[in-house]
Amino acid sequence: MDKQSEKIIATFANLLEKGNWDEATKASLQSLHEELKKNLHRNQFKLDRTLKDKAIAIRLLNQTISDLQKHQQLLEKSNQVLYDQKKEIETQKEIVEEQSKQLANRLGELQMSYSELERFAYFASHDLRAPLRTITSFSEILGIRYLDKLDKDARTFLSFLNSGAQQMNNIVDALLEYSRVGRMDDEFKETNLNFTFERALYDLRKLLAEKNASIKAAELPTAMVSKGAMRKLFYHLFKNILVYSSANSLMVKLRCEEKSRFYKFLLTEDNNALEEVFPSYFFEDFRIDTPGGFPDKGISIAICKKVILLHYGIIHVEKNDKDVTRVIFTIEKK
Amino acid sequence: MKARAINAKSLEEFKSQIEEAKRQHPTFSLCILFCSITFSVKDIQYICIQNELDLFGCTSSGEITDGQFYTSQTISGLILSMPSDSYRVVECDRMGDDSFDMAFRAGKSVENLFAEQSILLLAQGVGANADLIIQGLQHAIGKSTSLFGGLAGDNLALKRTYVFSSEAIYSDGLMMLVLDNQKVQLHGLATSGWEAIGVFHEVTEAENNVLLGIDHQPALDVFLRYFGSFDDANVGLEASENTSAQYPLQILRDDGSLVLRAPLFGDTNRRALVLAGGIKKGDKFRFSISPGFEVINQTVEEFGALQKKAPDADALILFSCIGRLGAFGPLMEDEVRGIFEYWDKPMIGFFSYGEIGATEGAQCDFHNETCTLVSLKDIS
Repeated sequence: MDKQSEKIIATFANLLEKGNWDEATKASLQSLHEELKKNLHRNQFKLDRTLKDKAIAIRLLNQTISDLQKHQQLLEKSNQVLYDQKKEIETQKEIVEEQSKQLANRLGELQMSYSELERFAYFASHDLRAPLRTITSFSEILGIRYLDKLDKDARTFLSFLNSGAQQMNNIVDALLEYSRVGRMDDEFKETNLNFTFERALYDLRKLLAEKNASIKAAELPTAMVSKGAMRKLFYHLFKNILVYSSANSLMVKLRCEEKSRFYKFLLTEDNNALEEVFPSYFFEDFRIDTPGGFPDKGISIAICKKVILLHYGIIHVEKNDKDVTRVIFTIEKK
Repeated sequence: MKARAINAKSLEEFKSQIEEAKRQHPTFSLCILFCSITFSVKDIQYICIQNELDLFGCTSSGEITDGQFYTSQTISGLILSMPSDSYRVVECDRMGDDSFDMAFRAGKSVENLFAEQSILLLAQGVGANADLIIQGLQHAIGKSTSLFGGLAGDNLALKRTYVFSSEAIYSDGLMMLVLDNQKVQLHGLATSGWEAIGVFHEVTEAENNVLLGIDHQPALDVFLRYFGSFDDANVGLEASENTSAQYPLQILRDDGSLVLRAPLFGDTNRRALVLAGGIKKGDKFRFSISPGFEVINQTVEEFGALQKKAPDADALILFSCIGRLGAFGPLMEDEVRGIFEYWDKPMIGFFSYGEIGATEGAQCDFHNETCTLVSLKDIS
């Protein structure tokens, strides 16, 4: 109870004590005095508790605000960490982009060098043909006009000359063809590979007849390819089999499996004749001088490999679980 | 059923009132009694036995009789002319069991006393886990049995409380008054009014009713930070002096309901907060402050709604949390009188260390800061 209330109560009590009251009035006043004391006590309690609650509520709210601020600070800290990480990622991205750019430039340079090389190979091959043709022509004239004037040794030398010129002509032809892959008629378009396959067989019809061979394909897809390049691929693969297999009859089969991102082709021969034609290392590197002394075989395989690369695929030789050799190649779906 | 509420400031006065009541109505058979721990329970037992009254009671932290409450050490008794076959006082000592096993044992002993029954429960106020008591009891008798009651007090000394019958006095046990619902009807309601404030916090460490960690910080430090009127010098004091019980934790149950846990005092050695009820790791809670005085009217109105549902009562028993007394002070009288006037029937009660009962639309639970009322009606 505050001092003023206490003073009022004390004054009231004093008046009650010292006043000259009749019994009934005194009893009423005493009751009133008790009621007054009680009410003052209640009001004082309410006031005290309200003040205390107010203080606690303010403290609670301040603390809650403080907690929220701490949470906010934590969030801001986390945000800063995230921001720093983002910046770091951006920096890394810039570095990667820069490196990609450099890589692209290098690739461009490489492509340019490669193109130059191809052009050089093309023109060199092309230009080689003229002197080669001169050598061949004049050695032929020499053989026709002066054969009876030449002794035995001279005739043998002339024969070597003709043979070498012919071999070189073949190599130049192959080199020219190799350099043409990706240059001519190589626009990518929807192509029914069944037709391309048939065209390759048509080109090889004489060899097929000579070798008593059969080359069949299961349904092939229509794919976005370089039609000319694919024709070369089929042609050279089959030609290699027909030329370099010692089997009396051949039953070659081609089938294609469609995968999510590419087409997978599998080439087999019923009597495992491919083992002889395509040793396991066969598509691993480029070589003109192949074992067995068939220089154009090497060029031919290089052409196959180049066609596959042009279509972002791979080509290799493997044996299945029955030890049958098969040639597998893929081309990317576009 | 005849009922009379008495309040005595001394054993002599109590004896005199009991004898007078018995003279007027010799059929009085049962005395429900709450008294200050300063009284000799043995003497009370003796007086009741002398007057052929079964006794069911506990010590308290303030008593209620009719529309008045007393904090000056009194005895509040409700004497009832209840037929002896309509009730049974059942005692259960702890005997080394934990709270669950003790309550389960007690529940099994009353499982088939009556075809339909309800239970008034008084349990020790210090050292018991009231949540486990309720769980153990309900495990034995099921959840459909009405269960109301309170935890005994000791004038906020928080040292030792007693529950008692005519024959037993336990400082570590529980008492049950089992009522035959076919003869005596029981209605009850628990209501609070405390408002939560601030953000949700998480209990990160706890042992029974000792709250050790809040949001990975020492619980006492967090509490002191929020309720700055306490300091290290007085948090270790009893709840009557630090008034912490007025600021209960509102724990969110899985079913979305809230249960209040009043902090009794701080353990400065462990930097922990000792609560008037169990709490467990992972519990989510909000702090609360004392409600405004308008809650008194709201509480009274809620019991007005109960009165409409159960208008006829022979007697009333009120279990009011000691925290309410701290929060409402002399205005507590308005709540007690308001409730009493709805029925205007004999009513006793006490200020407890925890209440057992169901809030509106919820199942029976253990509470703090509630006002829990039970009405009894003879229907035989």
